[in-house]
Amino acid sequence: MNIIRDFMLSYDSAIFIAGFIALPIIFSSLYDKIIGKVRSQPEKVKTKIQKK
Amino acid sequence: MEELLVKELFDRAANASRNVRSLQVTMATCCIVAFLGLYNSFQYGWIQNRVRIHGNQMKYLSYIEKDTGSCTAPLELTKTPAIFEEYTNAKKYYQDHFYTPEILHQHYVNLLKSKNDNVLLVKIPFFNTAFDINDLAIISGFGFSLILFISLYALHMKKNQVNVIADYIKSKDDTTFKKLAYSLLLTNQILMVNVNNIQSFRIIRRLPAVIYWMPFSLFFLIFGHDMLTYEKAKAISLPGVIVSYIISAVFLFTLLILTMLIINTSTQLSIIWKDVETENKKLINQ
Repeated sequence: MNIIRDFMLSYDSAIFIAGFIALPIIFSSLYDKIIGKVRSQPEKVKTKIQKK
Repeated sequence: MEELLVKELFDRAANASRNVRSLQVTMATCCIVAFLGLYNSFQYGWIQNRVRIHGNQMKYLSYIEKDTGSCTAPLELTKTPAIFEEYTNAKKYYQDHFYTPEILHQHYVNLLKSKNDNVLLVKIPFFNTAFDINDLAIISGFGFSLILFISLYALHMKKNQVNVIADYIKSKDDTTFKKLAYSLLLTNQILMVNVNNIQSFRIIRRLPAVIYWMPFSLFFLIFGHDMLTYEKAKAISLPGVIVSYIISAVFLFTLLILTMLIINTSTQLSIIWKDVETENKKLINQ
């Protein structure tokens, strides 16, 4: 745990700048994959439910 | 009477768009200020590195002054590689900048003052006030929550306005009026969180949603950095750290919920825009 913490603090600028750019994209993709598809295509979801 | 009503509806749709745009600009400004605060506080940020190298020069000043460059470093400094590296870097910096002990001392004092003014304190633009860097999580969490909360309502308002006006245009039979009205309405589109079936580049399609995820992501990083620097903060005040962690956790959860609600509302708005665009295309192709 300490090794990870020390490593992250040693390269904090690089890690956090990369995080600032990458995290919104990651969260957005995750949201799209988990919830977004259901929300943005209600018709398809309805049809699937009706078929079942 | 009807003309006045239509004008009022279009004005309100434009106002709603303007409100959303202003909030997006505020959100971006807050994100940049908060990120700069976080960036300056990094252990190996440029200001901290400068303070460190000036500190090393002060520490090894007596050795550096004796070391003319041709002779080797003093024996006691060569025993540990890390100390030797510190000394070599400090000496190189001192000689490259043609420092004298007086100038070095002056630079060091100025750097520490600059660190206190610009790193340990985060200045808020327009308000002429500042807060301690350790409160960055609490202040930014509160600020982001407030902005996202207002944005959510502004987006709801915009969605309702666009929906009402789109339905009104659809109910009309006059094709010329419909064409003009749809074109006018479409000028109010800003940063649409597109639905999956819209044809465009995948990354561009995702960008607006990425912007809405920025406050949460940044807060996630600030919270993560606070966790990493727990030992340092604990040395200053343990109760302060505990209170900060609890409040930050609450804000993190709040921001996640608010962002998800905003993306959901934006997606609904995008579906309405998609309908408007489809209708507009149909009329143009006729």
